[in-house]
Amino acid sequence: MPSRPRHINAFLLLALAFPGGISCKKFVQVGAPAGQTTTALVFSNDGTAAAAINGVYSSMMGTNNSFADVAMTLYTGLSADELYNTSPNPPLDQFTQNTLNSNNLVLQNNFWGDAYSYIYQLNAILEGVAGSTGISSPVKDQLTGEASCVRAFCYLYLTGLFGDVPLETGTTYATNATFPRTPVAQVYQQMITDLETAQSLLSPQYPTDGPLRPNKWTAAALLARVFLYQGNWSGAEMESSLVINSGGYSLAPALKGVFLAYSPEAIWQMAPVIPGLNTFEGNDFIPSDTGVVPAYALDSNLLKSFEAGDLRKTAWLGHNTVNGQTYYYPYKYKVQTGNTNTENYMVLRLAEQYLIRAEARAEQGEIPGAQADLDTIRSRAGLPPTIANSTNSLLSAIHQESRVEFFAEWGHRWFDLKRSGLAMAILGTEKPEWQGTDTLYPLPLSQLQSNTFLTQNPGY
Amino acid sequence: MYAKLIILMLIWTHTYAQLQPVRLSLHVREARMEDVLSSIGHQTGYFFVYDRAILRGASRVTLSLDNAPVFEVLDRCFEGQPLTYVVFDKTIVVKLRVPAPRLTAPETLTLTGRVSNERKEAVPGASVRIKGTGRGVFASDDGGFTLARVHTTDTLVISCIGYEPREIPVKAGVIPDISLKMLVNTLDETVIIAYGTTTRRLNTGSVSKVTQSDIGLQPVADPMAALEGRVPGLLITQSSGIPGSYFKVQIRGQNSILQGSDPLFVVDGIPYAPNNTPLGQIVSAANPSGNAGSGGLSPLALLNPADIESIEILKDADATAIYGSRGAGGVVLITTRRGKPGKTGININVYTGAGEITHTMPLMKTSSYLQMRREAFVSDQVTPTSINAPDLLVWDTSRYTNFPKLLIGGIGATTDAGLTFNAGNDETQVLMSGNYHRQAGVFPGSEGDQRTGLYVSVIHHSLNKRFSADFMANLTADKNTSIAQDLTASINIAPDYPSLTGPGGKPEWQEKGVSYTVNPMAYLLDRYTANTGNMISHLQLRYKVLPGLTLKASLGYNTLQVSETGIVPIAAQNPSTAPTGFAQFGNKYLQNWIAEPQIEYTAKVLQGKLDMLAGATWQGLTTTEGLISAYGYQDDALLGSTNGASGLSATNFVSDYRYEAVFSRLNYNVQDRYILNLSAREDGSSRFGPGKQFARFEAAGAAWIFSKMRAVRDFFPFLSFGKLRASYGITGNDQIGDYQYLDIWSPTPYPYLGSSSLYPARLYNPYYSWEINRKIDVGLELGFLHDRILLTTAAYRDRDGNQLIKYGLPLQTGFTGITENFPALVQNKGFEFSLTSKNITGRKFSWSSTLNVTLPWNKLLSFPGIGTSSYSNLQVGQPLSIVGGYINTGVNPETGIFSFKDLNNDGQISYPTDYAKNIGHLAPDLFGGWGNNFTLHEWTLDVFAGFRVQKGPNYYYYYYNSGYLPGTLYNQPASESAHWQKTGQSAPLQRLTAGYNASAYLAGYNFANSSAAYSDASFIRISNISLSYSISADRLKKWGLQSGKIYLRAQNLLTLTHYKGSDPETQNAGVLPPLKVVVAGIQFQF
Repeated sequence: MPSRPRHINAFLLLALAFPGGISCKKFVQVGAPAGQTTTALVFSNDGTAAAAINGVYSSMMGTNNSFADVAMTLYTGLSADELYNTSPNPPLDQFTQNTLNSNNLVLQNNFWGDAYSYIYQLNAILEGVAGSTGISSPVKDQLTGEASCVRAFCYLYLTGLFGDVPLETGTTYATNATFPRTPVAQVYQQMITDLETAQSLLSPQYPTDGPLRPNKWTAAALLARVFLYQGNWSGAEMESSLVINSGGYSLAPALKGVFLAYSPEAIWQMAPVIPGLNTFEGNDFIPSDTGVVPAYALDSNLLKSFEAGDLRKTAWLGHNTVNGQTYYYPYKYKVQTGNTNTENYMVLRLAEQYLIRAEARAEQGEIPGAQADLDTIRSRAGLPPTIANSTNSLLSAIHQESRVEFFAEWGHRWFDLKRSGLAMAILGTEKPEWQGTDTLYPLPLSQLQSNTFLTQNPGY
Repeated sequence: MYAKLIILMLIWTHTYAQLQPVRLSLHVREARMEDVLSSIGHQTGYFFVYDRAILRGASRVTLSLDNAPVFEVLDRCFEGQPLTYVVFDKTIVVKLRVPAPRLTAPETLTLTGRVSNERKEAVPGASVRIKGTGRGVFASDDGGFTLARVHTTDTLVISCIGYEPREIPVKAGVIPDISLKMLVNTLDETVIIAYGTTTRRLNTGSVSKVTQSDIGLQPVADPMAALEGRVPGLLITQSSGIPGSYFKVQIRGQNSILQGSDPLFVVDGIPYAPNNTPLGQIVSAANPSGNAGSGGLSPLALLNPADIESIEILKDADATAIYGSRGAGGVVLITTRRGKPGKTGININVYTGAGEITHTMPLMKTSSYLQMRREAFVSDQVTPTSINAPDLLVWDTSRYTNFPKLLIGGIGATTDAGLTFNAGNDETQVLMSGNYHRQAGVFPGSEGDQRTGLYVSVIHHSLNKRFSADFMANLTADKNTSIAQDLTASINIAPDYPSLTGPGGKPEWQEKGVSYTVNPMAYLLDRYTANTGNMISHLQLRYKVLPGLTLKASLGYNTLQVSETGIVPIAAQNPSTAPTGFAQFGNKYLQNWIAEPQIEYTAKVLQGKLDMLAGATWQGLTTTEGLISAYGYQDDALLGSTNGASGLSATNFVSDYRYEAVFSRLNYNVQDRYILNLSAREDGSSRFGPGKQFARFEAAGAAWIFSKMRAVRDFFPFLSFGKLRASYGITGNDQIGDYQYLDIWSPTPYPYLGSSSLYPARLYNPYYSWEINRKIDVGLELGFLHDRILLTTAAYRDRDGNQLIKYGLPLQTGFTGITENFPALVQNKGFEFSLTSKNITGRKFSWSSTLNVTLPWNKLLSFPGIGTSSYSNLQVGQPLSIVGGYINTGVNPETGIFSFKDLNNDGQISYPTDYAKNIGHLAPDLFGGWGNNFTLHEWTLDVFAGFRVQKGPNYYYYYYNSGYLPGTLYNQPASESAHWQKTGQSAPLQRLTAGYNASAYLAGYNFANSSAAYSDASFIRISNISLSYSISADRLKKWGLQSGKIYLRAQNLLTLTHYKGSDPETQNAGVLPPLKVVVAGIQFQF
C-alpha cells in the first residue's frame, strides 16, 4: 500500500479515538464451523481419527466411476479385449480403440485425481496418527496399518496404469506440487514397506462386521500380488499361502454366492454408501430393462474364450437381445438398484490367491502344486482338471483361467496382458489402432501443464 | 435531513461572507457615470449590468471618498440621479428610477415569520430579502426570521439553494408561514451516499441514482429488472424468464478473476444478508445445477419495487472506500420510502396483465424434420431401425406437435396490488404499505411466483428537533412454485414425438410397444416449491448534542429463511423402471445483525465548511443450511414428508461471519466551489486467518465547481453548471466465503457403514489476505441552459490486484487448488456518459429525454506464471471474458465435415494445439439506455430502450455441445442454414448425421467449441413502455380524490437483434427467454 498523507492519519486517529479500542480482535475470530473440524482436532481422539479412515472408503464408494469404484474395471476392460461401448461416446471410444489422448478427462479425474486425493487423505492420516498423543495405541496400530495398506493399493494401480508416478508420502502441498515421477521399482519398494508394516500392525480380525476394512490378510493378499507383479515368485507363494492357510477364507461353493456380502472368499470388500444402490458396477453394467441395449457389452473374443461347460459363462454373464442382436454384459453383481444391501464391492478375493500361488509355483517348477491350485478354481467352475503339465503350458492355462475368472473385475485382464508381454500379440491383432506403447496410459495433459517436472509416457 | 441542514448552513456562511462590505476609494471630478461604474467594478469585483441608453440621462459625478463601503459609494454616486441600482449577488443592475408615488410615507413595521418546505420542515439559512434593496436576513435553525423596517409596499424575496425562490408582497404586514417548493433541478436533489446524503451538485464521487418515478413505471417483481440499462456502468443480466429467477449485477466490470464481483447491497443502511447470491439448494427450473449459489431465485425480488424510494449506485473509490473490504465491486444502496407530513392519504395501485416469452427460435415442422432425418441415415449409410429411428419407423409421421408452443408458449397472468397509507405532522410521520404481486409462469400449469409484503416506516422528531428516531420494517413472504426442469431444454424433441400424455393427463411412456425415455410433460409432475420469508428492520437514532455535533446509532436486523421442497413422484417416472418416489427438503436460514454508532461534527473552518463523520461497525451473519434427501417412497401421496421414505440422507452446515470496522470521513467545502472529501476505513473480517484479519482502505475525492468562476460565466453564458471531479482510493474484496483459511475436515456426504466419516476438505493456508482494488475516477459534469441539459461524463480505471484466487494445484497434491493471493492484476477501464435533457417544457406538452452509454474495457494486465497455472485459459492483455476455441474454416467440400484451422499443421485437429486461446470475448463492448418522456395534457408516455453491443454463444454452442446435431433425433431451428450434400459443394453446415458418422460427430463437438459457436448477440430492447392518463382536477374533486390515473404498461415489448438463438440476453437455447409482460392498471389516492 502507498504511504498515506499525514492528514488522513490524523483524521483516522480522531476516528479511532471515538470508538475507543473497539478494534477487538476476538470479535472476528470464529473458530471452525459446526460439524467440521481441523486437522489437529481430528487426530486428538480415537473416534474422529477412525472417522478419517472411514472417510477414505466413503470417498472411494461415494462416486460412480471413480478410481476405486468401477473405473478400474470399466476403462481397462475397454482398453483390453473385454468390453466395448455400444453407443458412440468420444471419451470412451478413445479407450476402446486405444487412441487415448492425454486430454481425456477420465485420466485426469477418475484415475490421477481420485488416486492422489485418496493418497493425500492416507498421508494425512499416517502423519496425524503418528504425531498424536490422544489416540490409544491399538487404534494407532489399526489406523497406521490400514492407511499403509490402502496407500500401497492406490500406488499399485497407479503404477499399473501410468508406470512411473510421483511417490507422495507427505502432506506439504508445496513439495508435493513439484514432485517428479518416481521410478516404478522405487514405488514398489514403498508398497512392500507399507504392506509389511500393515501386516505387522493389523490383526487377523476385521474391525468391522465382515471384511469391510483391511486386516492382516488383506495386506498379505495385496503383497502376494505385488510380489507376483515383480516376479518375486517365492515371495508371492509365501504371501498367498499365508492367506490361503489362514483359515479365515474359503471359496464360495456356488458361483452366484461369490459377490454377495459375507462371501466366504472375500478378503476385502467395500460397503456401498449411496442409498438405493448396492454396487455401482451392478448399477452400470446391468441394463435397466430387458429391451435395452446394455451400455457396455462383452467382447466376442472374451465370449469365445469360455470353455464348453464353464459355469461362469451362465452364472456371471447376462444378455439382452435387441432387434435380433444379442448383447452380453457382466453379471457378476446381480443388483441393479435396491435398497437392501445384499452385495458389497469385492476388492480382493481368495480365488486370486490360488491363481497367484499357481503361477508362482509354476514359475518355480512346482508343477503338481500349481496344478492343484489351478484345479481348485476350475472345479468350482464345473471344469475338469487341467491337462497342462509343464511350466509353460501351465502358465498359459493360468493366464486363460485368470481371464475367465476375473473378467470385468478390477482390470485383471489388462494388467495380466501387460506383464505377460502378450498385449502386443493379442491386442495388436484384434485392435487396428493398437501400438506397443498403449500398455501405459498417457499422463493427463493438464497435470503435465501444472507440474512441469512431470514427463509424458512414450507414444503420446 | 441532516445533510440538507449542512448544505443550508453552508450557503449561509457563503452568503454571509459576501455581505461583508467591500471598501474602496474613489476620487473623481465631473466623471461620466459609465467610467465611475467601471472604476468601482474594477476595485470591488462587482459586475455592472445596464443599458447604455439610460446612462445618457445621468449627470456627471464628482466625489472624493477614501476607504468607504461600496454601497455608500454607490449611494453617493446615484444621489440625485434618475437612476437606481439593484444588487444580485455580485451583480449590480442599474436601471431607471421609477418616481415613487408621492403619498404619505409608507408605514414601517417589523416582520416575523417562518420558512418551511413542503414537508413542513424548517428551511434554516433561507435568505429573506426586501426586493430592490439588498437588505435582508437569514432564517434561523427552526426556519424563523425577524426583519425590521419593512414597508407595506415592499416585496419579500425568499430564496434558498434547492428551492424555488418566492416573492411575497408585504401588504398588510402579516406574513404567514412561507412554504418553499423544492426545486426540480436534479442537481439539487438529495443523493444518498454511504452514511449520509449529498446532492449531485456537491458530490465528489461517482454516484448514479434511479428513483421511484422510473422504478414505479415498470411492472416487474424484482427491483433489479427495473434498473436494467438505466445506470451507466451497471450491467444487469437476467438469468432466465422463470418468475423469480435471479439477475446478475455487475458494476464497472469483472474485477476479480475468481471471487465474486458482486456489488454490496445495502438496504436502508443494513447490508442485505443474502446480498445477490441466488437462493436455492435443490434442482429447479431456475436452478438447473441445484448448486447453492450458482443459480436460483433472486434474493432482491423479496423487496417490493413500490416500497423503494431510490436506488443509488456507488461506483468509484470516493463513494465506496468507506465500505472498505466490501466495496470493491461497487455498492448498491436501496432506500425505502418514508412518510411525509400533511394530509392523511391512502394510495391504491392495482394492475393486472399477462406475460409470455419474448422470443424463441421457430423449429422445423414434421415434413422438413423427417426429410432431414432420412437424409442423415443415407449420409451415414446406416439403415434406420425401430430402435435408432422410431420417429421414422414407429411414430405417426403425419403428426406434428409445436413443442415450443406446447411447452413454453403459455401465457402467465400477472397481478399486482398495493395499498399505501401515509400520515404525519411536523413531529411524526408514518407510512404503511401492503403489497401483493403474482407472476405466473409460462409452462403448462405452472404456478409461478407470489409475493406478499408489509412495510412500515415511522419517523419521529422531538419538538426541539434535537432528537429523532427513524424506524423501518419490511416483511415479505414469497412462494415460488415451479417444476424441476426448465422445459425449454426439451422443446427440440422430434416434432412427430408421440403424445406425451394419455387419458387423464398421465404421462405416456410408449407407443406401439416401443418405449421412449424422455417425456417433458412428466417433468411437470416434478414439483418444486420454495417458501421464503424475509424481514428487514432498521432503527436509526440521532441526537444533536451541541450545534454542529450529532450522535447517531444505526441498528439493523435482517433474517431470511428459504424452505424448499422438490419432489419426483412415481407418476413422473417411466413405470418400466419400477420407480420409487424421491423428495428433497432444503432449508436455509440467514441471520444478520449490524450496529453502527456514529458521530458527526460540522464546523466552519477558514473559508469553508468542514463535515466530519466517524463511526464503527459490528456485524454478524450466521448462515444455517440443511438438506434432506428422502428416497424409496412407495406412494406419491407420502412425498410431502420424510415419514414415508424408506431411507434418508441429510447434510447441514452452519457458518459464522463476523465483521468489525472503524470508519471516518472528512468533507471540506469552500464556498461550494472547491470540495475535498477524504474517507477511510479499517476493517476486520473473520474470513481471514489470524494476523490477516485487519486491513485499511481509504480514498480521496475532490470537486471543483468551475461554473462559479466569473470568467467561466462571462465566456460561457450558456453553461449553467460545470464541475470537474476526481477521486482515487483503495477498496477491498473479501468475497471468498467463510473459513477458507482453516484446514477443514468435513463429514463425507455418505458415511461409511453408517459411522461418521471425515475427509480433508481443504489444504492449510492461513496466510492469504484481502484483494485490493485501486480505483481512479475523473468526471466532468455540465449543465446547459439553466440546467435543462445535464451531461455527466466519467472516465474510470480500476485495478484489482493481490487477487484472491483459488490457485490451481497439480492433482498429485490431492487437491485441485488452494486459496491464495496472487499478484495478478485486472484492469477495468471505461467511459460513462449520461445526458438528460428537457427538450420541450410547454405548459401543455413537454418532452424530456435521458441517454446513457457505457464503454467498458476489461483487461488482465499481468499474471505471473499464467501458462502453468489453472488459469491458462486467460491471456495477459485480454479481457477475462475471452473464450477459446477451434477456428472454424467452414466445411470441407470433399468430405462434407466441418473443417478447422490446423494451427500446428500436423494434419489433425486436436486439443490444445489447435485450440486458439482467444476467439473473442463475451463481456459487452458497449451498453446503455435511452428513455423519453412525453406529456400532453393529462397523458404521459414513457418509452425506455436498453441496448448492448456484445458477442455471445449462439444456439450452435448449446445444440452441438448437447449432441443435438442436425440429423439426430432432435428438431432443429426452421431457419437452419444449408448443409453440405454433395462433393464439391460449399455450405456453412456439415453433412447431416444420425449419430453414426464418427468424424461428423466429433467435428460437431469441435464446432460447438469453435469460432462459429460465438456470434453477435447485440440487441436493442424496448424494455419499458408506460402510457398513463391522469384524471383531471375537477373530476378528482367531484370524486373526492387527491389524485388518480389509469395506465397501460409493457415490459420487454420488443427486441431487435440479429442473434442466432433464442434470446440475446440469456444466450442459452436451453433456458427460458425473459418474459414480456403487458399490464393495465389504476392508481388513485384519497
